[in-house]
Amino acid sequence: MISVSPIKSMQLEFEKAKRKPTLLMVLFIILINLCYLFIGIKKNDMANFPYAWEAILFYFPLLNTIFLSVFMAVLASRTMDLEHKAGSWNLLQTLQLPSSLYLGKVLYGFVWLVIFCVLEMGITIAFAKYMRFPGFPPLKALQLTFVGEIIGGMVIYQLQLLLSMLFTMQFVALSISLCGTLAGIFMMYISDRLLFPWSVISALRALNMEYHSGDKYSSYSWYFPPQRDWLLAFFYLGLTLLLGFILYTHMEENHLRTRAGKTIRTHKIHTALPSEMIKLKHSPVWVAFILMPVISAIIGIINFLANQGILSFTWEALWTQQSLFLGLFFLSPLTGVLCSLLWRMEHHGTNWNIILTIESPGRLIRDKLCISSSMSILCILWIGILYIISGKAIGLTGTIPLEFFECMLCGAFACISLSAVQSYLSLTIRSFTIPIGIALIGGFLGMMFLSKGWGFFLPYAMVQMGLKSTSLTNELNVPTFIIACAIYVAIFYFLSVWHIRRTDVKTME
Amino acid sequence: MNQYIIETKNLSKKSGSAYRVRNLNMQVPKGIVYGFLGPNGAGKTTTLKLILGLIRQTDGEISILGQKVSASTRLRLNRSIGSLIENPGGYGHLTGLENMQIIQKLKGVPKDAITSALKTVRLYEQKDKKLKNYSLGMRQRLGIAMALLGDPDILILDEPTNGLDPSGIQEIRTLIRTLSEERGITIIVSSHLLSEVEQMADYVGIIHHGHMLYQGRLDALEKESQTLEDAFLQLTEGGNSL
Repeated sequence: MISVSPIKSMQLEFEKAKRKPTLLMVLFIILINLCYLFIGIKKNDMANFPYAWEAILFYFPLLNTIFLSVFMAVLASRTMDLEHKAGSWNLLQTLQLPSSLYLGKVLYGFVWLVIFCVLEMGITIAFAKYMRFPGFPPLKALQLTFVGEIIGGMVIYQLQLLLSMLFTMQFVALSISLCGTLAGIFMMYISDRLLFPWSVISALRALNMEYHSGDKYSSYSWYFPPQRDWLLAFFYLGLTLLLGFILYTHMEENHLRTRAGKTIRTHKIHTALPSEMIKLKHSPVWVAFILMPVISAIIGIINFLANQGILSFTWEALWTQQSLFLGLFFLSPLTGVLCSLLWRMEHHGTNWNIILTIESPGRLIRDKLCISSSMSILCILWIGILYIISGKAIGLTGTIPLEFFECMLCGAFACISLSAVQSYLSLTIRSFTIPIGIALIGGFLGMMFLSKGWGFFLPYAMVQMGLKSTSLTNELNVPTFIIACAIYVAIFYFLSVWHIRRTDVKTME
Repeated sequence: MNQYIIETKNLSKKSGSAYRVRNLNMQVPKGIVYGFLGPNGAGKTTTLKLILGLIRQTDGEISILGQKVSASTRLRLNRSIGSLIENPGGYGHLTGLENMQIIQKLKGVPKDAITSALKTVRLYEQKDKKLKNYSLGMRQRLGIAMALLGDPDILILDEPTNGLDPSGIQEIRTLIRTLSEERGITIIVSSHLLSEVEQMADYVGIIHHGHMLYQGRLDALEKESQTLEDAFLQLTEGGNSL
């Protein structure tokens, strides 16, 4: 038979992905996952905690709504970016049918998804046994969780394949899925039903939790997703697969677009600050900066209003709802996306040769920092504006707490120091996605650092500290905080300059 | 019996409202080096992509080895063609050899074909280097090696000497002549360089604004107008006024 079978095509995908540290990424995510699960559970004192397995199985889909979504999106984006970068569409399509290429990529994602889920569950159970958890997790719940993750993971993977094909520039594709993931997390708080692709993982879960605010404990009950959710999940699964299939088999148009994307490589080089602005001109990254706070604000309000039983009707309570996830998980990756984007332009093609002959390293880094800082500050301001507008809109009375302005200031400074760190990472690591992944994980680590009181040691923790996402009335020494930020900026600025001075220019075709 | 190894009939490709290629009748006899000549943007790459089925024609027919190309025969017919279109592709993080292995598996040819193809383009010594560390000339040669895998009857090379230094150009030129003379491969080479085509090709097709202006033996054309340059300028200027 002449045509290459999808299975063979899948094997080739593994060969193409040689030397990409995918397995390392999986293990790292699982590690973070474990930290989160077991630190959380240990707090509740094991002896008084009869629901240990239930808690783990309940948190699995929740955590995976973030982790697995990001992993699958990165995986899909990478396998597509590989072809975009290699310019291999021309050759591959003379050798194999687009459908086999596409199905090969789908299978490749599926295999990794299974590896991820099996490893994640296996390692978690093994670790739980090591921690002397009684008995074994109920098999039925385990199966359901597994199936839910597989379906949800594939939906996101296929969706990302589609996006990554449509947008040659991977940051656009990844930003969309980052926004989706954010929305997916918030959706879990509004409704436990399946609403859209990013909430499949959390909707297909095996347990429900009820928090008893009076006695401060959680109880869990078994749950089986209703038929409607299953149907919708399979509908998403089929739809993304079908759309991808159609797109790939009608490759011509995309192919032309691929080329068009590649020819927009030349930049006009200006030596002043606005040059960085010009470089961003055709990159709709600001859309993400505008959209994410809006999504987070809207869902914050809904959550705030829905939980009036627990929350008090005050400005303080509204702030925690609106800023919690933003500070925790999304401001860091967003800054990461922006910094990666700013440096990607230089890493691209032979641009380093041009830029370093006319610009000093110090000035180049300063310009990049200025842009990423001003975007972050604008974003913080935007978050603040949305907070005030939404508070007024739902009829909050009284004055806006003074601490709010304090945390706007500190949030902005924290974002500047964060963008210095991310900028350094994106400069030294030539990959687009790895610094973003680091930022995401940094958000999680930040939360742990913060709970231990080590907030000052990690810039990611400082964002949460500055924004006061956990509680607006937390004490914060503002001058110390600002000085700490300034120190981070200085350190990473000099590290960046040193890096450029020390290393030879590397260009990549 | 069809004497042409590749033939197009009234081949047209419209994108937007403009024709990139219009009513093109290309006829490539067996065993020759066909120089496909035209200024930048004339429609050379479009035509070659049409032949390979990378893009679909608006109108017209293509036959390869006397068989009509359709969606169902495309891949089978492509088996007898090795191609290098636009820039040489390849995965930067993989070595030259690993890149070749991917193509070898896709083509389903034996492993030792890789060695012989790499030796033909004189890249065997550098096979374990990562592609991103290859020079442009080496990439170009690797692209040709990929095209040569599986001993194709036809080789389609789109501006294979683009961006190469004089010795690199010379090398590719010699390679093309050798492949044609020693292995009898039919080769289509597109170029916008007259001198290059003059030195490599037996046969030329001159394309301008998507139209084929001349097609025939190179020596016949040169007999008429002394040099290829004169002929080319005459033809393309004539084409402009059309």
